Amino acid sequence: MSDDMKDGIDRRAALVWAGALAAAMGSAHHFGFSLSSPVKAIVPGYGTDPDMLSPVVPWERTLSEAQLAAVRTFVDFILPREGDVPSASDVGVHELIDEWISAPYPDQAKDNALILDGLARMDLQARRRSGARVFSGAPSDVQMTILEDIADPAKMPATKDFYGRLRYLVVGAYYTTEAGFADIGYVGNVALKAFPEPSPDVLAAIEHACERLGLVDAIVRQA
Amino acid sequence: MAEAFDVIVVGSGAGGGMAAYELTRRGLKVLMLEAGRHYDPLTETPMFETPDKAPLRGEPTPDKPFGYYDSTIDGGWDVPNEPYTVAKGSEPFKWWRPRMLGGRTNHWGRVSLRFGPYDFKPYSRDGLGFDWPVTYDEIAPWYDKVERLIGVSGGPAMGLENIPDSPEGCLQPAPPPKPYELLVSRAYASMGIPTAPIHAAILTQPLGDRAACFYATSCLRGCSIRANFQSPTVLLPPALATGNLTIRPNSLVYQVDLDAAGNARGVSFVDRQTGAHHFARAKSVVLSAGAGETARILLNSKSSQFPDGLGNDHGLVGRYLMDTVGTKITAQIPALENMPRTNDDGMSIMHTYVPWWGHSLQAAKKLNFPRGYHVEMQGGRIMPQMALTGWVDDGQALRGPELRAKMRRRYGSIVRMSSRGEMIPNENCFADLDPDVKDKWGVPVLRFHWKWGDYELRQAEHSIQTFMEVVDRMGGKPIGPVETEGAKAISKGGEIIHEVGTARMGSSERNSVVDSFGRSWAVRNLFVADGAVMASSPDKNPTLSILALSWRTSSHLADLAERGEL
Repeated sequence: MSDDMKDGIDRRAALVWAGALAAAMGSAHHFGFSLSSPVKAIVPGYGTDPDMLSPVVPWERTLSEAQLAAVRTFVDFILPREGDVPSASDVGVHELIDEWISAPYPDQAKDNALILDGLARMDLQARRRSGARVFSGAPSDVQMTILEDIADPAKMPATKDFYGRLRYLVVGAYYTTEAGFADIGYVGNVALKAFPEPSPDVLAAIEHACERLGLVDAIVRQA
Repeated sequence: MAEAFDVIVVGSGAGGGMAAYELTRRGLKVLMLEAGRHYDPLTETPMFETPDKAPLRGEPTPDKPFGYYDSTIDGGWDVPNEPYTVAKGSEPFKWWRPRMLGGRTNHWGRVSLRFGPYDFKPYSRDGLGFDWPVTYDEIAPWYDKVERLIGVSGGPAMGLENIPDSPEGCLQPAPPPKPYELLVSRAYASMGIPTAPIHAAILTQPLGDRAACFYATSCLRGCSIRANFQSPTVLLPPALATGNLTIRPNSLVYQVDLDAAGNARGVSFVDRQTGAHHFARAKSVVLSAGAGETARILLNSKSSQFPDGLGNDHGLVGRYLMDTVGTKITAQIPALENMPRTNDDGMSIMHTYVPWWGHSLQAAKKLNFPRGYHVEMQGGRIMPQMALTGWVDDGQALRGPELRAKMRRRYGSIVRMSSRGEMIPNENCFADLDPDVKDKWGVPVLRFHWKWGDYELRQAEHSIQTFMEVVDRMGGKPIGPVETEGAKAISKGGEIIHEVGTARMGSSERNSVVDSFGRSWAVRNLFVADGAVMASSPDKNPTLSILALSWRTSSHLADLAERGEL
């Protein structure tokens, strides 16, 4: 038996097991949570009094190289580079996903289960469609087709929750960076001498909106 | 502890900080016992830090339930080694506690509204709950003093019913409204409902050696430039400067000890770091541990004279626990899309709020609940966090250029509104000692009992209906399902973190735990100076009133000490 085959069988076996357990417990979340929580319980979080000025992430990242590569492709599938605007991976969103799903907290442990399951399904698709061992080993056109299929729940209902959740995390992780701030148009977090009065263009925009919405002042004022 | 103190103050938050401020100024030697660690906002506050510098983008975790940068240390909904329980059959109750100098003054919202004349005499007006033994006019001078001392922005005078305006010279100017607030205000105005500048314990002008707000960094993180009110930046430094204040951190008080004559001779506490038990002696004791912890100390202070807990002869300690009624809605408002690119950080809370408008409707019997609520809001082009980007992205699963374009367009169009409403005290809401559960050091813990009344549920429904109409008038749509049923829309007990009322003040020892000055009826050199003394819990957030009442109590204590009457 070649290594490839062995790996494939192991992964398929794992998926079958995952499916059986998930069915037994009613949710794929529970499967992964119960699988990963005994390991994670011994890993400390950052505690109740972390250094807020010099934050550190005390837990190890747990994605394999191949999984991280798949996540990297995924995050740029959602937010690719656009002219001068960096892609999701340019600002390290894939690293954040690794940090996130490796964290020793209940919400993240749920995401860990969901996302690892989704990544395994991406590997499976890659294997079926190109014979590659893992998603990141498949030709890029195959990767794109798989991601496009995953993005369409009608085509791949089994990864609907995975896609939705990972996409949520990607969007959140991207727009909470300086590059994301710039792209979305957040211009705060700077010291001001005074908070400005609404500018004429703001007032005009509000006035225009009120007119369109038919908002008429109905406050009864005493003479 | 060997040193002789005039007064022990338990707790260092709004009540304790203010007590220390007044008592030390009056020349009394004060020992402050704080359960948490020392904390210095000047050197520890994450100013300007962005989410991407924090683990998990700063999102909430069980270690930091309000997010990584929240100024809550060693606490939150759970404090390690210090459990509490919720009675079987009770509705949920949550208890937020930090363990740090300054307590909850470090992360609060800074909404600083005075209680009004009606709020002190609620029973007289509608036959529900209890009257306070004081009037607004008696407390008003203390509000004046507090506003001037801590710095509250707001105004101009609005002349609204039961919403006191401050006298000239008390308030700093309010900042201009944020752009999105202009639209929200117009929507409320179209319903005949006025909006007003919020009163906030945030400086818009320098005050003494404190700088004015520079309109960046959420107040929930604390403030290293001291532009907002925190006990450790505003009250404790001048108290320490008198040379009369000793602060002992990590000191968890669990008992008031009495002498043979039945007077307080000091308190027992455990050092949270060493586990050692200590006794501290003083001529009087002020409990400012917060309504929950203050009740716990009183209930645990059992003696032959007080077998059911100190001052609990009439079973009133721990009773009539109240929290604020809270509801919320999140909506997307297309009319706010593509607004000019402004910096909407401002004060980290809204600059504009909606004071309760329903007095005349209630007088005309057009509402099915008494008392009222005010509306707080959040919106505009504020610093993205993961929850916000989730709302901006409406889940249509766009990606690439379409996703980016949608995010740019919809950013700034999310508006959240929250109600903050009055709860009528009821027999089902109280805290007692759990008969079985003890903390790490063997001290019985609090057991909470909770049940919202019908009045609160109806009020919650009214607020949600109001929000839906406002959103509709703005041409928007709520994000996600909206709970319209009161029992589902209402916050959990304790969740708004305004728990008050467990040692209420009143006109006699039969109907209250403390007198109108917060002085224990049972032990005359024991005082309560925190939210526990409140006889009602109006919609106005309690901190400003805790400060005013504590100042009045401490001033009275100092008067008594000067006259040798303690």
